[in-house]
Amino acid sequence: MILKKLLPSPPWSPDSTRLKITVTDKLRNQSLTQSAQFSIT
Amino acid sequence: MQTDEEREQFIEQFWMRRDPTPDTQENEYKEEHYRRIAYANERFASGIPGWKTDRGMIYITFGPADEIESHPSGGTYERPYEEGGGTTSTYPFEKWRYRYLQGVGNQQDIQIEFVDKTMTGEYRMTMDPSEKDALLMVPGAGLTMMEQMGMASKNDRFSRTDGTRLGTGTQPLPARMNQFDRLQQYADLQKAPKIKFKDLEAQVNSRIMFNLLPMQARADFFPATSTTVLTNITLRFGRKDLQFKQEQGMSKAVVNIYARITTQTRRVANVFEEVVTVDVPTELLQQASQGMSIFQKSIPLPPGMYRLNVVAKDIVGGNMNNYEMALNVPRMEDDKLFASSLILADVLEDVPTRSIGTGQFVIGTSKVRPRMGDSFKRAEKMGIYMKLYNFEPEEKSNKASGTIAYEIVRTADNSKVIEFSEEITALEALPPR
Repeated sequence: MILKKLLPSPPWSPDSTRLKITVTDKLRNQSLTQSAQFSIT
Repeated sequence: MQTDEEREQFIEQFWMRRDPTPDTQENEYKEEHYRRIAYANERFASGIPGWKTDRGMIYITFGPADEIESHPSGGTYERPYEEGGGTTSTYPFEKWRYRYLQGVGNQQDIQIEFVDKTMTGEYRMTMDPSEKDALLMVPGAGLTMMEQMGMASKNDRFSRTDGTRLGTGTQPLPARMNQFDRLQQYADLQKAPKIKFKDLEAQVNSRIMFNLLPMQARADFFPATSTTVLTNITLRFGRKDLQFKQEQGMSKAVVNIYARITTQTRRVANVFEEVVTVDVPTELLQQASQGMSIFQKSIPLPPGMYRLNVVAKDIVGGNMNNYEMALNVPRMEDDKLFASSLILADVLEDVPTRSIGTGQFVIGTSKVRPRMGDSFKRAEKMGIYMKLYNFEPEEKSNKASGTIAYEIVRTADNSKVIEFSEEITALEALPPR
């Protein structure tokens, strides 16, 4: 699977933030998390 | 060592440490080692493989002897004076001489005897020169000169305290037959050789850098198979740090890049060289110099730990940089849910069919340019790109089932800014591997 997404302009004030994505495979009953730090200026 | 990867790494390090020329692809030490094993198997096998025999061990460890005295059938033997003199009959035996062996006994004129007492072709190393005497246990046979003249008794051979059963000779034993020296030599011949840490020696160097060319680097990993991972290396230069030269209304900057990826044992896994050029109309130079120049290279690598060294040189200004970073290329297991690197992109778009899988920043059918520095302006859209592997398909529909939960948290106070989720059926399927 390819996760490809464009997030629109952020509705929050400039700040340092962290994106966390949790993926769950229901049939395998497994999940994983990937995260990335970014900032809005 | 718990995993095959660790074991493979140990073996690689083992040979690298012994390579007399670590800069070349060939490892002469390893080649010579395997040649000796092949020779030992061919010449010394006797019910057990040649490399397991005593002669095989000595040959593999120390190489060919300078001189070999061979008695393949045994038979009549005139004893030298240090063995008591006289005549006897022997089992098959070989006496190997090395002029010099570092770390063995007194290091010079090393003599090693191998005796085939069982007549099976398996020669055993011995430190007793009387071991080869086939008449040792036969009363009245194979006597020394002194024993023949009645000045000594053969029975005395069995009460010696020096570890031999030599008969009494006309002269005392030479110094090199000293029992402690023989024992020391016997032990030295069987101990493991010392390791020379050539790779550690290579670490002792100095590096003086001046006129640095600022550069940022990042690496993202996309498994192609369980044994190959596409490693995207992205480099960024600030245009304000580059020197431009003017030519016919255009300003041009040139950066030469040399990059080398090495394993932990310093074996070169990949090398690439690129020339990055930045062309800007001279009248727009001031404005353009606020921006960044980004370069990307995709390298297939097996999973494991690597070191990336990048040297970049601004050809116009002469400034250089030597950047080093670790590459921890992940291993994907086929039966576990797995994800590639998560990329925050400032360009995320589909590419035309003719450009699929080619060019910088292209991953499959998409152009994904990572935002170096991970800083976005409020007016910008932020692209998210990640590949997900090994979803279990349902038996009937052959479709995977699962969810993706997104969460954006403000770092300062951990407060949630955005939170939503979607079914994975909304995602694009990976092409079949």
